[in-house]
Amino acid sequence: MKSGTPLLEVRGLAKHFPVATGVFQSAGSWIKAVDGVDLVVHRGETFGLVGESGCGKSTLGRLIVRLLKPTAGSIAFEGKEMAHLDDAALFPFRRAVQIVFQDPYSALNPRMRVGRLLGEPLRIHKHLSGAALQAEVDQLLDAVGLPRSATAKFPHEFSGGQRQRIGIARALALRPKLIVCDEPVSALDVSIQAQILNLLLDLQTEFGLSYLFISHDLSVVRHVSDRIGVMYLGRIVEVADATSLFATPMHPYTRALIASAPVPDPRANTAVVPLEGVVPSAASPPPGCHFHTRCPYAVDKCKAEPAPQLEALQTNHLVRCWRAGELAEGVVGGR
Amino acid sequence: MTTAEPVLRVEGLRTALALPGGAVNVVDGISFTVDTGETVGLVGESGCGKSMTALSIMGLLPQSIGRITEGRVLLRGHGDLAALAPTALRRLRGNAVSMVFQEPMTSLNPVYAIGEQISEAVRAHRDLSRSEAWKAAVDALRLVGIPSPEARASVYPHQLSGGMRQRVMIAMAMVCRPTLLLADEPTTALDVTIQAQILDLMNRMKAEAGSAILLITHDLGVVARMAQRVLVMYAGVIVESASVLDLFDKPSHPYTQGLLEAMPSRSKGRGTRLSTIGGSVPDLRALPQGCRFSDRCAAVHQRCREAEPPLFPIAATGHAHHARCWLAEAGA
Repeated sequence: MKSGTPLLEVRGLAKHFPVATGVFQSAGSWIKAVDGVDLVVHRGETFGLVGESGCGKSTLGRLIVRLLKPTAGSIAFEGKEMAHLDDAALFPFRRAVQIVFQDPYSALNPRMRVGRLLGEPLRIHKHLSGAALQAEVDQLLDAVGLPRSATAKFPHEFSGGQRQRIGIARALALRPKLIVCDEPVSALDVSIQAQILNLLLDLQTEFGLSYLFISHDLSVVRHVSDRIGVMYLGRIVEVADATSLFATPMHPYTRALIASAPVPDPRANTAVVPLEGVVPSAASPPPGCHFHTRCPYAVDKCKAEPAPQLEALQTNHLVRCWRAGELAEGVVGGR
Repeated sequence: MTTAEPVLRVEGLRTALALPGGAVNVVDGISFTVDTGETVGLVGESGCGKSMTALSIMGLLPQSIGRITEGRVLLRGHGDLAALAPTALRRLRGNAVSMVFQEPMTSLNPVYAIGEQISEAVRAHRDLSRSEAWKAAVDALRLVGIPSPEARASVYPHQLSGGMRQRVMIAMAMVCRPTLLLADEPTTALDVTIQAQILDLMNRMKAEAGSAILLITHDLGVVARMAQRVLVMYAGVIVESASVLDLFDKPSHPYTQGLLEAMPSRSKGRGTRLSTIGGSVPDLRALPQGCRFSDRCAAVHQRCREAEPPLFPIAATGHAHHARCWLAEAGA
């Protein structure tokens, strides 16, 4: 193992989608879905990415597995630049980085039996066939806790939780180093969610995996992550290790998110002041700090000056807010 | 505790759906009450029958296949809804009792302005002119916190965000000041900061109109924040009912305990194993013998497989706490 080089290092990553307008469908404006993101995932680590719909977290996940081509920025995987390679050059990278989606049913071809679904990457990348292929498929099914008889069945014959196990087995097939998990338990009931989270943690230990774990659910992200990044309108506004993010959230948005999410404790939910307004459109984000329109602590500077940078307020705790220092000392009141 | 008659009293409600392969009791003999000004949480996982309970109360079961086969749905001042003719029921819906659904986009008509849709609801129940009803609609929109309601009343559902649409649904549901609001996963499709706004709004509207709420959700966090009492449903029956504090402090049915322990918590450290409930929800056509939870229960014993337990009172926590478990009988 090369020490020093992180498994994944993303710098200034951006994805802008054109908004087609007019008869000729020319790009009138751009949606900056991901707008200059820096992040690092270390070996064996789970990096949690949390944010509300439209914040760009799924787009970021798809950029990192290179299902999308970035507009700008760099993606270094084990020190090698992947951001702008074409499909052929990406082929070896595909083995090392895989993705698990929220809805396994739409991610699994309904006309393929599970054996073929799991076997396809093995045939293409490892040229396995016959008994060797079947042995590998059986091993994958064992690893995710499905019976070997699953081989002969179609995706629709399984429950939601079992389908997600198939999705995980497929991601695991090529023994990747990094798996991007995009809301992997959001469609599942609580009792099934617990099974899948346990499975992901077991597989991480067994195969030495790293995860980029994307979710809107703070408790889930807290449960699986070593470090957490909070996204708002295409930018990461705070990064810290999981414990200090929840113990001392520094960005006003992180604070609001943590306060808003209901917890299963009737005594803990008393004084919630809901955040006002909605997330602005990514096609016309507010000037300055994107959050100033909803921020209870916003001052003129937040609107007038270009957005603040992500800066370390403490060791390993980065925050993108002009007033984070004052807020941490508790010397400011809201408006 | 009020001694007054509850807003809603459901007695032995049984609802059958005619599905391919035979009729299934999706709601299988449930009884509960909702008191004035109270929010009662009805929780359970997919397929437990919680939405079917709401649709049964509202008389909105899928017409050709669903019907109430037993039991009564007593709405204060209006008698048994289950025995009412469709036309009489229609007069109550949106008036004395109304409902908010999970996905407002499918509940709102896409081709009418939201103001027209709310006015229509008003005019169905109140003898008002068009302009008076429009004014009532604008007032309702203002009450649910929609900015510039006079202008917004003329927009169409697709022009609004998910949170704003849910506000419109709540405005429509509350415009006639119902005594009972059924809310079926009202915030499940919304982001957490918007969810907090909507939950806050529901509480304010409840206080303003003096309504009671039956809140159907899979989210124990939402229940903890909103409800005073909780009913836990599993495979068509209520397996535990308790005050919200008792339920979270002393969950007494193994299923409730399992649900609470399966939830990731912010206080548990990273990577601690979550307890799981083995297996999956049983097929309602092939329920296990005895207790419906017996084949997934860690505390199962011989008796559980022989007979279905009734709801036993949990002695230690007072009369309002019940669990459908043989162990609760032993512990009482």
